[in-house]
Amino acid sequence: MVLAEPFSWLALGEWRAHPWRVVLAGLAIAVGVALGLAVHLVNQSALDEFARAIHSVNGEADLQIRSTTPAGFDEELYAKLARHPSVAHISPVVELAVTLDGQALTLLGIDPLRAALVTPSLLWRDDNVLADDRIHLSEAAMQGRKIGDKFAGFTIAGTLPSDRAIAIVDIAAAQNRFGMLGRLQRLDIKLAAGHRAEELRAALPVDAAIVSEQSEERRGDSLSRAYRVNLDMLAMVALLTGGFLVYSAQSLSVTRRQTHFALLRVLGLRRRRLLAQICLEGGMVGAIGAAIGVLLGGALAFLTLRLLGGDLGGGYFKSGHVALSFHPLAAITLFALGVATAVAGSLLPARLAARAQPAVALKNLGGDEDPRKRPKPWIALCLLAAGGLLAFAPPVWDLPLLGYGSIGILLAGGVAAMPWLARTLLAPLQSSPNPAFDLAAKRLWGAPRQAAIALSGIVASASLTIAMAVMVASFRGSVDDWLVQLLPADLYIRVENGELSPDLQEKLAATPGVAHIAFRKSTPLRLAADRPAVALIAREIEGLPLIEGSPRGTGTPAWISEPMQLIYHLRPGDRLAVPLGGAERQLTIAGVWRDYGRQHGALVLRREDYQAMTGDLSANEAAVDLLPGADPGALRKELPDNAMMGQSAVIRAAGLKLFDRSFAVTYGLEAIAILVGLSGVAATLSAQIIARAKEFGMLRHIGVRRRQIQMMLTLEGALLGGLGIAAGMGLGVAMSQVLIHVVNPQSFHWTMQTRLPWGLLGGFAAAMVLAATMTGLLAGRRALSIDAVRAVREDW
Amino acid sequence: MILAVDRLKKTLPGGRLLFENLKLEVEAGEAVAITGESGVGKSTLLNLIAGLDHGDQGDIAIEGRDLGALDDDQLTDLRRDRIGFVFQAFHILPHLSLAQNVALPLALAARPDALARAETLLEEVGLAGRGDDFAAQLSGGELQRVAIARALVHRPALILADEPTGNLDPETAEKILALLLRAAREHQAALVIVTHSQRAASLADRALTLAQHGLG
Repeated sequence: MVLAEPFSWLALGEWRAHPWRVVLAGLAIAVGVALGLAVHLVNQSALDEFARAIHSVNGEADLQIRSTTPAGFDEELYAKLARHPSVAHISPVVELAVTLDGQALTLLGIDPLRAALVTPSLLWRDDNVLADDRIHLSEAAMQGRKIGDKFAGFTIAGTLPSDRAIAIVDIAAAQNRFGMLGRLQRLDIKLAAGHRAEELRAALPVDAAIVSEQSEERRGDSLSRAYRVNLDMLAMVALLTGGFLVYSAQSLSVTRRQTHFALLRVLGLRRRRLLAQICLEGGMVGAIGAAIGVLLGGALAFLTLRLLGGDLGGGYFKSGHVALSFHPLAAITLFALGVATAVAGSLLPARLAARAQPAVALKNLGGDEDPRKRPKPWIALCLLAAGGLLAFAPPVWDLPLLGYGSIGILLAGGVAAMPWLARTLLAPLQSSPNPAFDLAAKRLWGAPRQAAIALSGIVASASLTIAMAVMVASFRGSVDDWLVQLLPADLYIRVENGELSPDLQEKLAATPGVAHIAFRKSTPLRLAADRPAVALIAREIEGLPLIEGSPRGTGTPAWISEPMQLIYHLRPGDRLAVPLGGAERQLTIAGVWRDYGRQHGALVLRREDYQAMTGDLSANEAAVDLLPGADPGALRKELPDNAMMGQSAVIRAAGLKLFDRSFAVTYGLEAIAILVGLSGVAATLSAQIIARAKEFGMLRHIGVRRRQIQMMLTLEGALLGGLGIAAGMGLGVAMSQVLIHVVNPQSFHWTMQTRLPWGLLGGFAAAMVLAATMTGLLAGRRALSIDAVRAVREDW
Repeated sequence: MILAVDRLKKTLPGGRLLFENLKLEVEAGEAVAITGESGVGKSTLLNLIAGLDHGDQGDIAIEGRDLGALDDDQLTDLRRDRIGFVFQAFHILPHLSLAQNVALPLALAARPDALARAETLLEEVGLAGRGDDFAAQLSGGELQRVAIARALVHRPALILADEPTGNLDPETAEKILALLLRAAREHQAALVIVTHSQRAASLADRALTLAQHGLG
């Protein structure tokens, strides 16, 4: 027995008497812990997979020199670094994202003799290692092919143990075949003993940077960190709602057992032990729930990875199969959080029970409040003010942790304000000619703390749901506007892992039916080793959704996206040095444009400036305006196989579909939080109504009709639902502003305008009020089924 | 001397004087009945003696220990170890067995023999073998017997009974009263009964009436 006697007697007695209440509270904690752990494990497994993938492509080099753009750097660097005293061994690599025979893969061109000394895991066992017509595919890239089969003009000579789609060929074959003569994307290096990577920095050209496996993993981490933290936080909402359910269950239990506790105090139980007893009861429910939650979370993560892979909608992890990496520390942390949430939910009711005067409480059979006492709003106002102030705090470790803290404190403030708010809002309803309505309003007005217990669940789930709904609607609306602004042409063309040569561009421009065609070049550009690359886009400036500009300055103008502005702390007029065309180029920030497509930043140059700096005349995107009635089929025929062509309306619809898909997990987690919240509300209201059977018995004795009591309870449910949704709406809109103006810019580095989805909010409010009303109706029926004479009898 | 109350004064929060200059002394094995009109402060007096409320003036001592000098934890321990309680509404916890209810004061003091001693006391009050039953299975008289067993289980020096027969029919009340008085005497406990019942008052060693000027 965990609890000493008589505490085990008391806890077990209570659980035996109300098993479903305990089960519900435990389940709420279990669901919260399970979701939190599952989301964390899925994300962490995907991240581990990402690290493994980096390792499988990079081999075991101490460090790498990587080009800042896919165009690579001059291979002269290889010869230069091979002579550097810091370098023990060096292996040149061509690394390209290509599409071969319709299959997208990472192609590595290596020198096997060199790779044997630096990255032996990239080598294959083969007798003709230097043959330039051979290719080695990873197991993931084989796709049913056999050794000896032809693939994109090569002969498959062997396989590699990797679940990433990788192809390895001889370096010379790669340079010849893919137009990379004299260019390399990577140098894998083993350092000489006692030397450090930093010693190489001075020898590097501007378009090459030092990258270690750690910085690559950090880059992978930062790629999706904000999204993962947001999902973690959302999963925590379910746990938080579970905490409110424990609070409701414990509050009711304490109210009902008020005389029990008073008796124990009279018989010699100290205050602190009573407080510990109630917290321990909550903690044990939490521990059982959390243990179940850990098991469920592990199973849920396994199933999710098995059925859906490692991507939870953000599109960051595209690898097919992801193995579950179980992190015991995460499981222990979530377990502890579950227990802590349950104990926290018990703390307030426990304090109320421990502070009660035993002699008074022993006489008080109903546990009702003194209706003359007016609840004070000060604690709530302080919390709301503190939450509001915290919203202005800067990010911590590049994450909006204080923004989340602000939302939590605002929620606590909103819940704490409920007794005062209920009293204030119900004051005008105190003299209704309808006796049922009058009784309902007077009961809630006179016992605002009791009402607040039921309201806390409604307010918590409603405000969090409304905050999310407003944020998502604002985001979706802003994305829709942005897509309309960004896609003014009739058709858009994009080439995956390839390009449109100048000849082909001319041919496309001359295709019958084409009124105007604007070619663009989009390429990744690494500005920092441990940050994801930004997108460098060479295009026309017309049609760019500018949100800020500056008077023309000196130097080549560049327009940065909003995320790039926030990540790199740049403003219009600032100068920015970028490695382009083998030299460092000075750009002047001429403006900022809205971009919801590239979270890690994008930089736009005029195409003519880009071509002048790099000599690159190719393109990989195009915007096409057709002549009226022209058939786009003619254009399609001219395009290579790896080119995609779409109408702007279709792309816009696909963009919004992608948006909805990426929020699907968000909606799912939110729906679970609402269900947990609603079941908590139903359980609390039912228990409160059933506990008042004696009051209804008395009313029946003095001549109040059964139907009138039923009506009174239904109206109480409706009033509670209405109050809860009104407060939840106000609080939710306030919290949505923190999500829109603090959490989103700090997480994803973009801003948006607030849009209130009135239809959705109205429907949600109606559903919540209806649910509360129905709960009042059904619980009232059950309470009234108890015989009136039996109900008024002393239950001791 | 088990209980010594001297010059006790108590006013209600609104300022109404309940009583002042109240004196009371009770010896071991002695039963004192306190009567008086409703609202005169009989239950408040019991709460003051139990250390559950504070007087405005005066001293209360139990076995020589001045309650005014004790903090909340010490008062709680004093109740647990030296005082037994019998209430009008019985206050038997419905989710505990009868033996567990009786054993509560000993269990709170972490006494390992709590349940065995509870069974002995249940036998003493005429409920032998009913230790595993629950409150819902008992009549009012039986519930009050359980309460008396609980009041005696830890061998208290003082038993405070607040209207112990108020919820019982006259015949059962007579039996319960006799049991309470006999048990208190056998255990050499001082007994203070607050009651409206003249019959109960007549069975006690002393009967006092509470009024504003004190006990008379």
